[in-house]
Amino acid sequence: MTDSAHPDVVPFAQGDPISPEQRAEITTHLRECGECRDLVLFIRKTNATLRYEGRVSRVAWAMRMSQDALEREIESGTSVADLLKRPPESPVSAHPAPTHPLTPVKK
Amino acid sequence: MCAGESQLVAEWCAMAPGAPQKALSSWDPYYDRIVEAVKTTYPELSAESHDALLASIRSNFPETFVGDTKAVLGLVMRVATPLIANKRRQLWEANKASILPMIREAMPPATREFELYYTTTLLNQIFERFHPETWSTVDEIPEKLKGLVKEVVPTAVVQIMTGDGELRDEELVRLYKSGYEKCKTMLLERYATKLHDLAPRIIYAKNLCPSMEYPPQFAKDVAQEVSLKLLQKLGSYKFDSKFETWVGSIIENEAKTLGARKQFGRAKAGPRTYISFEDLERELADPVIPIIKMREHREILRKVLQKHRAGSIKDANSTDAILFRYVEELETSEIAKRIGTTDSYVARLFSDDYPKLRQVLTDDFGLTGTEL
Repeated sequence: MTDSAHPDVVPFAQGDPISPEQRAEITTHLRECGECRDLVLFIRKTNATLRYEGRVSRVAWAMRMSQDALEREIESGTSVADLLKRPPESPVSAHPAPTHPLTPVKK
Repeated sequence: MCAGESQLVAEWCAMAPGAPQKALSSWDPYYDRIVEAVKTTYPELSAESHDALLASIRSNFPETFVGDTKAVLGLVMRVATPLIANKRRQLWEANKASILPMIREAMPPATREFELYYTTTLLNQIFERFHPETWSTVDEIPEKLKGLVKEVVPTAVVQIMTGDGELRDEELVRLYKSGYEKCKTMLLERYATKLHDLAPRIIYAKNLCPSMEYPPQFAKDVAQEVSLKLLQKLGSYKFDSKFETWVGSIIENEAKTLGARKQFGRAKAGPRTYISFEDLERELADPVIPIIKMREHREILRKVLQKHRAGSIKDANSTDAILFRYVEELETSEIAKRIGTTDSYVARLFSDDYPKLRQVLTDDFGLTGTEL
């Protein structure tokens, strides 16, 4: 939304560099405008989801798994490190212990 | 010695060495090529028109003309095209009134109230086939015109009428677009009945009714939405398919949209609740950005992107730019290179199009960014 009533919140929502003045203007506006807050949230969720799906598809391709199977592993809490150790034809694990998908494994 | 021979002798004598020679006209060396060019370009010209055209070309022939066959052809076209067109228009204007009663008589009753539109349309169709330059004499024109009416009108009538003697749906749209406002009402009335049959048929065939909905009521709701869409968007019908097929695609889209709305429990015009400023601040402070968790919602996001991509070229570019940046994780400069533009234009694509994507999400799927 870049009309006079709404500042351009897209660079802000995307985490692109903006000036302190722009940031202040947007923050003030967001306090009052539900539509723009919703847009910011929409942009962040959309971008995070697309990035996540891109990564899942690349990892699935590298591991010769289907994207669905990999997603099920992620949802059941398997880390990428565990997947790498597992032989290729092993069944998908079933324990429901959700962690944040594809977050780097802490060593 | 006959008159012709004496003329020949006189010319030979005049051409004797030392005698002044008669200069050849610039027309003469080109005559054969001009005749050939006329034959090639207008093979169906009557002898009368052919001679008239040659005379006209000759009177327009430049004294200093020098050129090859291509130049001759160009000259012939320059003179002949407007000449033939003007003559054709002149003869048409002089004769068209003679066929008006015939056209009126041949038109079915349902077209009578749109007589001006249909006589004009049919006259245009007849004019397309009106080529008096290929007919042996102008005296033939009235008979030929009658023949054209007999050829054109019955075919046209079949195309605009249904077997029941009513104007086809497409014709009503054409008439509406030509200024006959009442045809929109006629069409909507026709479809008010038709939709009661068409909507359930498509919904059942494509299994579009959500499992928790009562199918007859759902079909009725869809039909109501489609009636509203037809009222608002009739002008956007482009005649690419049959009107009924076009309505069918609207039914399908509306059923999907309504199904999604009902599934996610949003009343179409219900009040929207957005994230509070405090909650947004907390979200922004978290380094882990949440993804859309529900698979159905991710599917909706895919559909939103697909719909946006199917819009203009700019919409397709902006969808690509978003996918390049987030799915492929490319830098802006690389994205700009791939879609053949500049870094700043890529930034503008993002700024212009995210709000549009959110609009599609809200309008077509009844969801907000907060609910996603």
